[in-house]
Amino acid sequence: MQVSWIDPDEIARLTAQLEGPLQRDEPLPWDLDTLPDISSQFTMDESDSADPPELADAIAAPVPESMEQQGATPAPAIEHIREKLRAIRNSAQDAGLMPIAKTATIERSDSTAIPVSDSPAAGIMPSRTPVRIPPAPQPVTESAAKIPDSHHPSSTPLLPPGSSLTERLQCFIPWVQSVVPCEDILLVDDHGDLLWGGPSRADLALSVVLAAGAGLQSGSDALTRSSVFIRSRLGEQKELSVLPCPTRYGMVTLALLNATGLSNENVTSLREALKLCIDDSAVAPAIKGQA
Amino acid sequence: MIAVATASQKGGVGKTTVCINLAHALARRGWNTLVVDTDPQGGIGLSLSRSTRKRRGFYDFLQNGGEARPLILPTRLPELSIMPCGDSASFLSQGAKLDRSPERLRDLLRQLDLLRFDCVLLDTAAGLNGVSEIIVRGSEWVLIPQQAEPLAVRSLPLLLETLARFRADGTRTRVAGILLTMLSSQLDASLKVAREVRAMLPPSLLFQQAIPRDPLFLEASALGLPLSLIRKNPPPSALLFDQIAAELEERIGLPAHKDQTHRHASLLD
Ligand SMILES: Nc1ncnc2c1ncn2[C@@H]1O[C@H](COP(=O)(O)OP(=O)(O)O)[C@@H](O)[C@H]1O
Ligand SMILES: [Mg+2]
Repeated sequence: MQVSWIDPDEIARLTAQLEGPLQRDEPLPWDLDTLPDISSQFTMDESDSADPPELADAIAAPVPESMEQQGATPAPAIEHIREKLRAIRNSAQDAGLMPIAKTATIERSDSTAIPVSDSPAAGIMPSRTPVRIPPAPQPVTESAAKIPDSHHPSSTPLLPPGSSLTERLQCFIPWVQSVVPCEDILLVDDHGDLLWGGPSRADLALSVVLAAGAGLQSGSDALTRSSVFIRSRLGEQKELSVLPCPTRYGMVTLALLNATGLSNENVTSLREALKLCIDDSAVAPAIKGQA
Repeated sequence: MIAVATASQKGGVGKTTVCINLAHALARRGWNTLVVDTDPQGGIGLSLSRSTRKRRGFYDFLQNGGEARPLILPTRLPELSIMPCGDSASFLSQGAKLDRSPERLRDLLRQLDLLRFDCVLLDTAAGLNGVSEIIVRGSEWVLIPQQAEPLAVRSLPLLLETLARFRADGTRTRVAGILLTMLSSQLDASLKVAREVRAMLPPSLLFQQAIPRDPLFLEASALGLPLSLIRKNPPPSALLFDQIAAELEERIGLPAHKDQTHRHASLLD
């Protein structure tokens, strides 16, 4: 089986271009902004305050026009990246490295989202990483206990200890719905692969990655601070709330479509729960005997 | 003088490690070598004292221009020098006005040439945009460390595509080679990736030698040192860099280039 699943034909085409003769004698004046300044298309939000303090400065101010553009006709460069991601995803599926969504969907009545597959962490599961990551030393119950149940009755999802990531996500996602009602929920890893969300959401995944990337690139580490999230408007009717969250498998981003009632407090809980859900998922049985 | 920039789409692939160790090996082989740290989060010169870390460096030059020589720190190895990163924060905080940077970079490289460096390695921040794009476009060669891992290799097509786009714009930068790093010989997947990449790429684009995954690198980068300097006897992985340096010399034509400049100099003398 091919493990690198990059397309040899594509590589051949690119290397030919790189090794071939220069197309022109004089370099073209190139545009410094060869990629769209995506940071200008997103706003970051501290959920409880309409006007987030220093963060507004940390990330470029929103440009209203480009926000609308983003929703209607995406900039050519974005369209290009989108195509790229699509092609990469297709070749992954062709190579059998990424499950095709239809084969393993599990319909759930309580959630609009469906897991991409039975081994949902397409991009982050140890099975696809060469090095097996040992389970986090902390048992699930202990980490969960950090958030006092008495104060926030629903502040953590019930995650069966020692469960696999699939099982955990199946508990986590409905819980997110119950905390923050929204039209759809996506989980995207830092390669843009959907860990959760129907295949029809692949293009939303790109918006999620761009939003998270823009926020993170702006150098503001406040972005992963517990109560901060990014608001990304996708046209008139759609808004994504984007919460990048560092996990032990890299950045995993939770995105909520048209969420209602996000608050400082529940953004914090969402992030903590997501981290718990992923970090403590079992690659080996959970360690017993710890309080 | 030949300028070689590192490039990668992602961070943590081993650019800085390659740069430091390669520079050290080149210097040991007698080339007058300078490492320029252009990554605000890079670790070159981490082991320098606090006061030297606050020294002016690359970003100060991008901001103000002027003379390059005072920004260069000598090392104990006479052939190896370092230009630290300098004050990246104040440069990048002014909304990153980069329009003047390509010209500043050209000026910097001109000055370094006059200072008689044979080879300048520019260690970049991840991504091929912003300052890193300017550096890659402004260098004659680009060196691409690539982790021999199934997940990491995904970024290769995008990187090549970006470089092809630069080339289509008329940028003259050439690929010195893709250098496989963090190859785990015990891990089947890592070996497979290496084999597959080797099958896909023409030999002209891929270094023969690959860098193994070795925990000693971690130790060395914590100290900001080339691997050969953390032990009395250089560990095997350090010796590999001698071969990589030899390969790079061939790839970028360093000996021929030096001959040329020397002949040139002797005509002038
Ligand atoms: N061949 C290797 N084996 C093991 N660890 C490595 C190797 N190369 C780099 N590392 C480690 O990986 C981390 C990232 O490397 P670095 O060179 O800083 O990457 P980059 O400059 O691309 O961000 C460092 O901690 C470094 O010590
Ligand atoms: Mg680096």
